[in-house]
Parts: sequence; C-alpha cells; structure tokens
Amino acid sequence: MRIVITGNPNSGKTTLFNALTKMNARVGNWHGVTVSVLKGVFNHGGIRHEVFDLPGLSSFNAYTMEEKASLDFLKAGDYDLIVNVIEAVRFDAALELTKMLVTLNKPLICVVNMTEDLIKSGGYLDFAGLNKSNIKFYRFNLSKKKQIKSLKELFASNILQTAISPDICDFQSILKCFTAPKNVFTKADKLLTDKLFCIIAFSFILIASFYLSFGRFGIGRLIGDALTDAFSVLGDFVANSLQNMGGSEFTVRLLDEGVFAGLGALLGFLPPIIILNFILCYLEQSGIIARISFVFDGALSKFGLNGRTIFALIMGFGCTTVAVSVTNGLENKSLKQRVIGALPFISCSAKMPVYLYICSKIVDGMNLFILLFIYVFGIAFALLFCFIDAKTSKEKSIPLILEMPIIRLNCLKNTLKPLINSVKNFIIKISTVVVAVSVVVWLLEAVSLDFKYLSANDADKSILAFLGRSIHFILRPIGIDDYKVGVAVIAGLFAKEAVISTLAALAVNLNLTLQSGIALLAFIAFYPPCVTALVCIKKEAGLFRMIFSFVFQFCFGLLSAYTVYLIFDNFVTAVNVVLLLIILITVFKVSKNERIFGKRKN
Amino acid sequence: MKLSDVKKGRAVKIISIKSDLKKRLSSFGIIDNAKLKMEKNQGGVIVSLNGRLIALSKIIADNVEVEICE
Repeated sequence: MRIVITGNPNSGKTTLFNALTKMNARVGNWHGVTVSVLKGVFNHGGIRHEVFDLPGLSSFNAYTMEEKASLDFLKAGDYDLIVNVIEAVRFDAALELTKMLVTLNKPLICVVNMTEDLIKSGGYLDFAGLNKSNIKFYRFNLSKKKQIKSLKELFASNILQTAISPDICDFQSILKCFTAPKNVFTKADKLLTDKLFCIIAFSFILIASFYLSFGRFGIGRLIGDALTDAFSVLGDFVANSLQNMGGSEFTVRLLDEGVFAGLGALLGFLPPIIILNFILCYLEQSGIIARISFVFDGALSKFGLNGRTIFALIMGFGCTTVAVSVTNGLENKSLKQRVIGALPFISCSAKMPVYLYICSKIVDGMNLFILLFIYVFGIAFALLFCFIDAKTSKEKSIPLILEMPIIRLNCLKNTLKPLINSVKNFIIKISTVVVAVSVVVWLLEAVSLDFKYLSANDADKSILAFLGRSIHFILRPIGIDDYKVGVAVIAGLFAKEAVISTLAALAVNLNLTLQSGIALLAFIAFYPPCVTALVCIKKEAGLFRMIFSFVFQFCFGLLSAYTVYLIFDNFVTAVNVVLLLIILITVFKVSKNERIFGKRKN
Repeated sequence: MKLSDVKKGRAVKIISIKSDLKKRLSSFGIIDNAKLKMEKNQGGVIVSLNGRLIALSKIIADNVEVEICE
C-alpha cells in the first residue's frame, strides 16, 4: 500500500515520516527543509506499506520548485491514501489545502498536530464538531512515539476507504470548529524583530560562534587541532609498523602522507563544522532564523536578495561548503544561483591562516588592517555580483513572504537529531572527496612525469611541481619568481589550509615585497573555493555553475592581483585617479541638483 | 491606503491585491476581504492573520490596498 504524507510547510510531515519508517530525514522549524520527495517503508499486520513524504504545500498554486514537486506527485495519483498533516495553529490555512486535496478523489485523512501550541496561545479546536464532518480529523502529538502504533493502525484501516466527494464537504462548518489564537505577536517576537536588538544579538551570536569554531582558543579549533595531531601520530604509528613489517616506501608514504593526512585534515575541520551546524540548527528549530530574515530583508533586497539568504551569506565566512548547502532551502532557482555565485567572494575561515601567514612575511603590525580590507572588499564584491546578476536576470527578484513559525526556545532535543544527520552526511559525502583529493595530491607530488616513484627529496621533479611551474607564469607579473608558490596555489584548490602546509613542506623561503604580498593575498582571497565547496556547488546548482564558478573566480582572482600590484606600483597615479573620479562625481551631482532645483523654482 | 502605510496595532481589511501577487499571497490566506492586524511596520511588515504571523517585504506591502477596520 502506498501512503502519501502532505500538508502545509512545517506541520510535522517529516516527523510523522521518520516515526513511521524509523528513518532520519531532516526536520526543521523553517520552510523549505524537505526539498524532495522522500520514500520509506513500514510494516504493519504483515503488510508492507510505502510512505512518501512530500515537501510542504500551501495550496495547489505551486510557487516554489519544491511545491511543484509535491503537486506533480499528488496529481500523478500513484498512491492509495493521502495523509494531510495539519498544524493546529494554522488550521484555517490548512483547510484551504484540504479543500484541494479532496478534489484528487483519493481516500483522505487529516492528522491534526501540535494542538498543545494552539491551546497555549489561546486558540481552540472543537474535535467533537469536526467528527461530524465527512472528512476524518484525528488528533495526534507526532513527537510522541507511543502514538505511532495507533497511527499505523489508523492508516491501515483507512486505506480501503472510498474517497470523499468534495460536493458533500461542508468546509464552512469545519472552519467554525476552529478558534484562532489571539495575541500571537509575543514579547519575544517584538524583541527579535527590533532592528537594533536583532543586529546586535545576531552579530554577537556570529562572532561567538565563529570564535568558538575557529578562534585561537575556541573549542572547535582546540579539539580540531588535537584530533589532527592524534591522527598524525596514528599515521606515523601505522607507517612505522608497516615499514617494520617490510612494507614498500610507496605504500607507507601513501598511507601516512595521503590517507592519514587527508583524514587528519578532515577531522581538524569537523569540530568547527559541528559547532556552526549546531548553532544553525538551533536558530532554525527555535524559529529565530525567520525573525532574523525579516530584519535583514530590507537591506538585502537592494542587491536582488531577500531575507532568506542572510544565513547562507553569513555562513560563507565560516565555510563555503556549509554555506552552499544552506542554499538548499531557497525557494527560487535564480536566487539560489545568485547566492551560490556570490559565496566564493566571501573569505571562508580556512583562508584566515593563509592570510596571516602571508601577512607575517610582508609586514608587521598591519595584519588587522589588511584583513579588514580583504573582508570588506569580499563583501562588497559579493553584493556587487548579486546586484549585477539581479539587474541582468530575466526573472524578477523574489520579495520575502514568510510565515513565521512559533518560537520554541527549548528545542535542544529537536536540534540534536538534524545536527547528527548533517554531520553524518558531511562525514560520509565530503570526507570521501577530501581523502580522495589528498591521495591524488600526494600522488602528484610523489610521481614524476614519466610515472616513476620519487622520494621526498625529489619532489621538485614531480607532476605537481610541473603543474606549479606551468602556472607560475601567471604569478610572475605580481613579482613572484618562486614556482613553488604556484604549487602551493594549486594545493590550495584542494583545501585552503594546504597552501601553508605545501609552502612549509616544500621549504619555500617566502620573500615577498609589500606589493607582491598584497597582490598574492588578493589572488588567494578571490580565486576558486576548495574542491569540496565546488563539489557542493555542483550538487546544488549543477555542473555548469561549478565550472563557471571555477573559471570566473580564477580570472577574477588574477585580475584583482594584477590590479592591486599595479595600484601599488603606481600608487601616486592611482591616488590621483581616485581623487579625480571623486571630484568628477561630485561636480556631476552638484550640477544635476542645480538643474533639478532650477526646474522646480521655475 | 497601502498596507505599508498602516501603523502598528491597527486592524485592517484587504480591499485589493496587485494581480501578479494574488496567487502567491492566496496560499498564505491573504486574499480580498481578509482581516489582518499590523504587528510590526519597519519597511517590511509583520501581520497577524487568524493566529498566524506573516512577514512581508515592503515591495509586497506597497501593492496591497487595505481599509482600516474600526
């Protein structure tokens, strides 16, 4: 038997799906969490039932990609029972969808969820009155596992029922059984939607979360470094053991410098990812993210974005991969593409040590100013990209319409499950890529052009060295002569942290002038993101977008580096040009205002 | 008057919605003759409708005509 679970967004469909099938699909307090049809199975009474969890649907006027997927599935009719999950607080809105579901001519039952929230907020649902209607309404608390057995029995008994004719349904009477809550705009809502408070609180949360994840004494970094060191020790132990057992140098180095190094780097990455994801999950589950989206919507709309995109953009400062995956919930394809296109301009936290390393080689005491410039220009270019993309796009910008979920601050239990799932997905999907890449980089460094194994001392004859020399010509115009910097740049394409480790491993004595160093910083700030982020871009936006991101960012990085180098080389000229531009713009604006005022006087 | 001009705390009834927004807003229950209460207006607005809170961008609020309910 085939059962389809549908309903308004955030009504508890996936909670029901997970409870029935014992799967762990992601549940969120945010529209757009379920973005594709999920399939599962449960057994009851010796019969196997298939269950389909659809993305949230507000009505048959499907607007987003996910709503269209739901509607297509429903209209295809390849199922035996529709379970319409209704969030009690939104009973009236859910009734609009129910009216449309009845027209599908399939057996239908309605499961009313979260009635406790309705009662707490002063509303009421008269189930005795609802039972008089032709449509079956059942009251359940889907978060309680004890009720799931009753639900299975309910579904099994209803599958063979006939469909209800829409002509005999009295929706007016059904609606009268619902008393809407009053005063739903709570004190917490007032506080969280206050611009000043929201910006201050959000900034504090972000700074705290980034420091905890990536800060020098942050728990994420401390645990991450400890894990990396532990894995390094483990790798050495395995390598030594293998060597003692007579293993070949190739195998020993492959395991130690390829596999274990890759795994160690990934593990170092994991604690910060867990912390950032925990905070993100909590903000989502608690409903706070909806309020933040509202506050930032006005500012973002000027750049062709809307409030929903704020989180993806901010997450870009932590990790581009996480930020790209967050765009999953955006309702519009062009908006999603826009955000994904802008994210590579934002410097992720992995680049910070690279910036600090290069700054230490060129100038003392000005790290903060240089870093500030990099981040400010990154944000400026990201917003400029979005602005231009919005102006040149055929599709109109999507203004924000968002139904605010109820604030649930005590949602730690609901936060842990999606957190565990997202970390599990990260480990399984991303780790395989990272380890594979680490092995490939090691192989490129350990094998010559005629595919002969090279010892560690002969790395400059390797394929990687050849590639480094091949691209080295692009760094010569910014005054960098050492080809090993090119090798480090290529290694940085696999993981940004690899830039420093490669420079250290190749024993590069990085002597940079101020202008070469700043130019190199500009190149690293804007060249393509790491391969895991590119893989994520392909998953979210397609192969073309991934290739475009790579090529565009590479060219933009080079352009930035050359421009910065030229500006420094001709600093006085550059300052004069900027001053001249400012004077010209001022004169133009003054004369324009004079013309306008002149016309008004007349 | 436009929804974006309504002050906080006022109850309003929708008179008309711009045609290209009707379909989208209807899925949130925002239709002609619906009664809303303005909960927040700072450019974008937050309205309550039958116990639900809905946030709308200023662009959307500018294209919804309402009248004040007494």
